[in-house]
Amino acid sequence: MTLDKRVRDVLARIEGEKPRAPGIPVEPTTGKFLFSVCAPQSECAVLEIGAGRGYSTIWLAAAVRHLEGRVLSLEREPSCIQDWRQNVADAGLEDRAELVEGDARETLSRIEDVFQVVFLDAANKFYEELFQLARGKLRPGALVIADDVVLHADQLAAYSKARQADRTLVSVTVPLDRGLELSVVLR
Amino acid sequence: MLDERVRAVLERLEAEDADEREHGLPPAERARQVTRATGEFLFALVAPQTDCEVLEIGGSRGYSTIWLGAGVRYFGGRVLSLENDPRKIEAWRRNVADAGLDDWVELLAGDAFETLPAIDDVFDIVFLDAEKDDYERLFDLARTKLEPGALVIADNVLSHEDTLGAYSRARQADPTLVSVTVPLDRGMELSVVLAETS
Repeated sequence: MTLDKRVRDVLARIEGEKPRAPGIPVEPTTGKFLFSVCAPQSECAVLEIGAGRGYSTIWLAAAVRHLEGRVLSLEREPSCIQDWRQNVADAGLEDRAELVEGDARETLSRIEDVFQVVFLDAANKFYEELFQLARGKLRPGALVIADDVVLHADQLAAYSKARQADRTLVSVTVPLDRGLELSVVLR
Repeated sequence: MLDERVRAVLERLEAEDADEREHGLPPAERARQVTRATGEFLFALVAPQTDCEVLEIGGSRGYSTIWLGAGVRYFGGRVLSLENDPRKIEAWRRNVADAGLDDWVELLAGDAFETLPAIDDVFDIVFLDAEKDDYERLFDLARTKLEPGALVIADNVLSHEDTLGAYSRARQADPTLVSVTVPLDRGMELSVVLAETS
């Protein structure tokens, strides 16, 4: 299992940096949670919408590495993209994580893959639209994890409410750090 | 899959649990089942997994077993549930059958300290929901059945922080694990195995 020194060093370095918007990283405990969700899965295909500077990508990619999974990350901010490439390379995870540059609302519709796990951590005003775009790439059993739903409840309470009212999903709010909405596709 | 049979049994068990609490039954006689949100959380962790082998320590009357069993139906897997209380075992069997999950879940009757060492299988996910004083020893027993990447979910670590605070601290200090406390309902400790042996 792979949380080697290269990975730990990059994670620790980013944790020590002053957070810069855009691309503020998730809390370390949220990183560990994402790692916990993905680590037991074999051939886990992860879609990350809003990759930032790669902190959450590294947790996800480290988790899927030993059972042959991969991470596809979407990011549009040029400064984030540059740091993402550097951080993921420093962690030795280039062969497990791939970046698609551009606005996810455009790039996502062109992606033909199917994913088991989606991590949604983008501009909150686009969550609904991005969820709908991702929904088409998910089979029953797939899991969508959306960040910030408690911290930004003013904008995202409607997102959680809509998921929990949807009979084609099972959805639960997990009050870890900024709040995660976990939604499983039933059909 | 969360079909009507499964939903009906879950709703009945939620009503029974609420009724038992309302009538003030002592904890030992109650189902002491997880909350619905925790059930949904377990379902969310299991559903995306392929060929997911789940070990449940403390099956009770089957409420959490049914969430786990419904979760493994998507991409294959099974749930092995350990329970010692004969009355709970009887209810477990009836509830699981009512939910149509007999093919996905199995019960091993007896004291987990005796049944667990005799199990030869390897598991991807362990759900630990037993007597709080036993967590440390049960974790150690389960640990031998886990390969790197496996996940242990221990319930009640916040509701019983007096007894289980030490459990969480020990997992988070262990360099062969990655461990995090998730503050959902009674609190769950999620621990991923990084290396074969501690």
